[in-house]
Amino acid sequence: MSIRDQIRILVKDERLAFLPPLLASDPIERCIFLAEPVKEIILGPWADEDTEIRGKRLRAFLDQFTTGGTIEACLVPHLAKNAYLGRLKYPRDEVWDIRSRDPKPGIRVFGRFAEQDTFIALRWAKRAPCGDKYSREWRNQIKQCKADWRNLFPAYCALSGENLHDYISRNVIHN
Amino acid sequence: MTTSQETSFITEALTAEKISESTFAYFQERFKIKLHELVLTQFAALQKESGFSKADLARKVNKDPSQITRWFRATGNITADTISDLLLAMGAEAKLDIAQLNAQDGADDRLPDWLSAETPTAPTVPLKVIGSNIHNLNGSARSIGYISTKAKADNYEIKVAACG
Repeated sequence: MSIRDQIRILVKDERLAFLPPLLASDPIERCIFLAEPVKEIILGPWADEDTEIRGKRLRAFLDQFTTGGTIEACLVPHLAKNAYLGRLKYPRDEVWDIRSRDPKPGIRVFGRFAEQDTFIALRWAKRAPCGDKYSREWRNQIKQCKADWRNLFPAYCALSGENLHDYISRNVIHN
Repeated sequence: MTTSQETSFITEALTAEKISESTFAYFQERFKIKLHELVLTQFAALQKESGFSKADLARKVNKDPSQITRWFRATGNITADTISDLLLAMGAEAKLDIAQLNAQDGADDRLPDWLSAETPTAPTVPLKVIGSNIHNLNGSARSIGYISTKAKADNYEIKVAACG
């Protein structure tokens, strides 16, 4: 069993959903798999029209990742404020977030890399209620993220790397 | 993984008398990202080729480096004029094109090759070692020796992982 086998099982059991680019004319260059909470905001059904609009904007944002578009990323926690993708404190936890900043309030999609170019999106939160970078809410999100991972991948560690290209093979700018 | 919802999303854009706000939102965001990416891609290429930095770019457009950072930060912070200025400062200009949408665009059931392969039959079972016993998710305990023998007989592999 490899981590890919585990992903296949989780997709088959509908505990993860593969997110293809919305337009079939776009290439699949990287993979995002959605756990249930993220699946809801991206794929619906949505509680109201505003949530649907925000979900669709977030989908366009994630499609930038899956289609292999150029993104800014940062390995160093607290220095990633301008990046599309940043590793959170503590780096050994290997929890990352994708930052959709427009429109306000921004949305953070938390997750971990299963392998290079493969991101498992575990949960999401609006930026504002999370408070500052040292808040309890942030710590809780990271803690929950680790628990979600253990639940889905009990026998596998998240990808751990020394440089950005260990996580993203190409089209990545160091923040 | 493809949903009829997604198919109707594109069909709606192509055929509906009135396009919904959420469909507009997806394409607005996509367009902004593509424009923003023009700048990022050109910058990445120069950075790789010649070590061109955000500070170099700031000097060229006569702005504070923090402004460059803000422009790079989010798709909503950057205007068409700014994109033109930044590209020019990097010795380039935007080349835009139009792609016709069609109904197949929304019927995306593509999967990566490796994901389409047959699903393995042996699932991963989370186990927790407490003392000399192993507990499964239901809380029932077995000795480590029993689990090891049973796993071997059933062709399972025991993986030990120390994960955060």
